[in-house]
Amino acid sequence: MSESVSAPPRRRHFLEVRKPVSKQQAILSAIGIWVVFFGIWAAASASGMVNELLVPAPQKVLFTIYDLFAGRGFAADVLISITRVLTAFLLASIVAIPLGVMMGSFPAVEGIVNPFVSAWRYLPAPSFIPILLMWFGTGETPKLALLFIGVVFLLITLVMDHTKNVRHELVETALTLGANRYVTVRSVILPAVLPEIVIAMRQMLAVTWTYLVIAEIVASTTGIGAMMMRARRFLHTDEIMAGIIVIGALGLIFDLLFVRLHRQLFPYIQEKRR
Amino acid sequence: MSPAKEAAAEQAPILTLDGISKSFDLGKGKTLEAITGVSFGVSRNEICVILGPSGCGKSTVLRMMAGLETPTSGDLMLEGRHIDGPGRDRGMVFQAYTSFDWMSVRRNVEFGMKINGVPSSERRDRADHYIRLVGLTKFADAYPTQLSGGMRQRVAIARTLANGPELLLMDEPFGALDAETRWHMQELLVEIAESTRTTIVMVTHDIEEAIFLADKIVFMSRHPGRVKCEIVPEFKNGKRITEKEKVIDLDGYSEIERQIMRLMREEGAKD
Repeated sequence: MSESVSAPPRRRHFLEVRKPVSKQQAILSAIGIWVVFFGIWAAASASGMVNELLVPAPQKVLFTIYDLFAGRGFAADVLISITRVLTAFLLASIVAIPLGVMMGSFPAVEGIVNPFVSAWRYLPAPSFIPILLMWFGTGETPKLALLFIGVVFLLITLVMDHTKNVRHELVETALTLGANRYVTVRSVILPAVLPEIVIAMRQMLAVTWTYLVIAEIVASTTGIGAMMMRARRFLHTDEIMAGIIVIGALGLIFDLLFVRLHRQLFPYIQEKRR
Repeated sequence: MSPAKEAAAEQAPILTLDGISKSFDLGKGKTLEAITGVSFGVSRNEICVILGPSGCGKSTVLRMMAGLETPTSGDLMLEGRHIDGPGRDRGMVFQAYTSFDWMSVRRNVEFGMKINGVPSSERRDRADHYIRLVGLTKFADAYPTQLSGGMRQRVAIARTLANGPELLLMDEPFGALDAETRWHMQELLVEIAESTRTTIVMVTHDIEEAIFLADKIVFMSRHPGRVKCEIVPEFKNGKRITEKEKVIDLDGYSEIERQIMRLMREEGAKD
């Protein structure tokens, strides 16, 4: 006991190798970095160091966001963009998840599909824009097609790889309990890989947003990207930045929704990730 | 049936391995003989332990019994039927944890019965029975991820037994457990074998475990893997004793331990 009394308290350094920080410090750090970012931006604007036309002050951009939503019907554009992302992402998931699980479960299926998918995965989706416009005109179809192409092949590959990583002992356990092929895939492989699939979906949803902006900038009159391109024509840099911030915020919200969904669906997974 | 006849029926092996060999093609006309001419039988209600140094092919032999691997030549028969692929009559417990993490303990134990069409009321009763047998009643609704290693292996054992296999195959099931948990599990297994009369084939490289559990030890040597000898721990007088220290106290224990250690040392000298 006397040892613990006489032992001097160890000084905690700010930089401790792989020691988790307190929750308080984590929140403070997260807010702090943004305060610094906006602080530098605001200071640069106020001092006149940057061209007001090219870099509007942060408060002006924030007001523009408010104005866009309150007075200029920006909500409709945002809704259109969200609908496009979710529709294309849903279609891609409907194709990619069953196919990826089949490929990861049956080498015969992988042998057929993978040589095809691998090649497509390396083609940059935007290179399809000219042909998609010729095929589908200027409606919703070419935009959805671009998002779909951009995301489906990556998602197939991710789901396949995760499915292959399901431990073989689980499969063999199912077989020795009398499971046939269908039951093994449906009742063991699929539920075992599902948490990884949801994580892969979370990652790929971010990629879908990237292609959305490309699609809307190149060939659209509606949506967040189209608004930004219109703003460029009239040198409205505040509107462009407002668009960027809104896209960032939407991405963050969807990401948090996925994290929550993961926790809801898979309560048996202990908090060891992240 | 007279007692003598009954004894004779018990002696007739229900599982027979006849001249099992397995070789791998290494290319360039070379083959590696991993297992050669393995023959032995396992009687009903017997605990048969396959013991040997690493690399002797004991796990491969067990996996052949499960139908998870096929021999290059030779034949395996269970109650007169050729073993051809995995089936519910031969349940397997692995060294690695195989609990289905997305199901509660109870649903894990019910899984085999469910996929084999056992009605839900019977399923529930049988699951309860086997969960009680392995001492997990309090944890029936917990997820396996909340359990310790030993408890997860108990789930695996209950799940396999509840499915009503004729043969319980175990591949170093306690190998990943700490020493204290391991001997608790060994004692539990003897109790289970006594109360359920299940025929068990277990693979291990742990000499103490083999002597404590086995009614018969099949000792395998390596390069290539084959049966070196069968050892019956006669000193137990055919009785199953559930306390490990009582087995160690018996006359004859240390002699058989010495004998097996010598066999192991001979195998080690092969490198």
